[in-house]
Amino acid sequence: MAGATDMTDSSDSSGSPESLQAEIKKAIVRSLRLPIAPEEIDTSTPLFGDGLGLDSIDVLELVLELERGFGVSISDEQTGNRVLQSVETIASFIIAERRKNSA
Amino acid sequence: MVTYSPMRPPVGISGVGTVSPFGTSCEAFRDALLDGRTGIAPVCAFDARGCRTTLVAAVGGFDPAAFISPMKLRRMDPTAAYAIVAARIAIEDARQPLQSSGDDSGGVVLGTWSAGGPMTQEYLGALFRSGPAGVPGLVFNSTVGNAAASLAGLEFKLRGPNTTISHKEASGLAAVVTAVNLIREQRAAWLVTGGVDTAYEVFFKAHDRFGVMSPRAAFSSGMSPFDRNRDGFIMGEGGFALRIQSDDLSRDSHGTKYGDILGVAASGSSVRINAWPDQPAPLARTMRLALQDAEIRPDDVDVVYASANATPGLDRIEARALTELFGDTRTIVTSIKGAIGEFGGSGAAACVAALLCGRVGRVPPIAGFSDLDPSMTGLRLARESLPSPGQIVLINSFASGGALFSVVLRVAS
Repeated sequence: MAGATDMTDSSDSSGSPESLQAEIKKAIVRSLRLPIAPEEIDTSTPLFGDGLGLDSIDVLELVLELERGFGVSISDEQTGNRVLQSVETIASFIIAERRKNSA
Repeated sequence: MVTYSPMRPPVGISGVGTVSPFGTSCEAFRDALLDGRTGIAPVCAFDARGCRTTLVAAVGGFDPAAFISPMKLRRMDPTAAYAIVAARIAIEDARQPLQSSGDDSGGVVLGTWSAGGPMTQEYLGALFRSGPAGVPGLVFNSTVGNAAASLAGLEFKLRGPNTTISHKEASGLAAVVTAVNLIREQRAAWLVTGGVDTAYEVFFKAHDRFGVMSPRAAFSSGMSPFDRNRDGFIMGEGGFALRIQSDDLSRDSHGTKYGDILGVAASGSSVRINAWPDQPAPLARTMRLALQDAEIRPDDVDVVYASANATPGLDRIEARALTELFGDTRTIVTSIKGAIGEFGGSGAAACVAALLCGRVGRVPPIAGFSDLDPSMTGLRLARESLPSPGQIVLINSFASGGALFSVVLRVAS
């Protein structure tokens, strides 16, 4: 059975979109205990349905993980539906939020 | 031989499933019992150094990924995994395929003592380490008491009754009693019932502190139920399932493979919290109620699978109750707890053992039995594997705290 959740900070350091996407993949696999390697996730793979096959319980944990690890808040369902589509959309959201906060 | 013409129809048993120290094969479970082997061994799943007790009867040879998808397993408690696998084996054993759309007439009634304890331990560990924001929400669903039965119902799309029963060590047999009553009341056409538990660290160490488990360093002769040198039970774990069905369904499917449940009884003994029953009368009453429900007499009973688990007091009290009903008779008394330990699935395990061993005409010995307690000389105890004298079996499961259950089975010939 899976062990305790690793609470390591997921924040990327290099700042490039690719490294951010890689960090997001790692965070998804770790926090949701997916039985795959982070590299196996394509950045455009849908998180739900026929893609990674996540469900509503995963959404709750994923939202918390993005808050904990990347400092972004997904505060309403509409934002969640827009952001939680793929690693790509999550990365774009994080970059946009960081730009907004640093402006 | 009992000529059986009951007032109420029996409940058929069409499949059985096991997740035990001997793996997921029912034949391996049966053969281990009949050989007098034990699943009791030193604890491997966690560090038991410093504990008074260091033995456990842990599940072995179990690969849940062979039965459950990895996406489901990642947030599943071992208790639920045992339940789903034991249920799947029982359902497939019955050879009555499930519809892909599921079944409104089938359900799940499971007993568990540990329930979602392993995930609760993990969840609380994260809470203490990291605070409320650090808890793994992913596993929260598996911390609830009814997770095992609920997830089993979802796995097989069974939309009939879904119930979890918890009566400590007797949880599994309590579930069987409840399930039989639901079938009799026509609340479901068929049910998966039985018991599941996990011997996880906090649970084990709490019992260790109570000092109720045997302190021996290795499984050894004389630590079995009814032995004069017994010194406490060993904690077990696993999943044991029976697929039971209504008499109407049994007729449609040309009888049932394993046999029938003829009578059930639930009763109680007024004792302190956590104390084992300390008077034989309530135990004898529970057995008599089950026999009355089955419309048979004590001398019709061929074999008893006792609740005795090597606890000095419980075994002595049960032996006195058994002597009242079966003393100096042909009835054979056995207990499988020297092989699989004590846990919330042990009563269901005894049902499965009785059916599997009974079908090959045998009674398993009491594993680890050496010297008879001199106060129990009136009982015909199974010191070795014996030929079964008949088809009628009484199963007892008595819990610390005083919940008492008995079930009467007729094993198919």
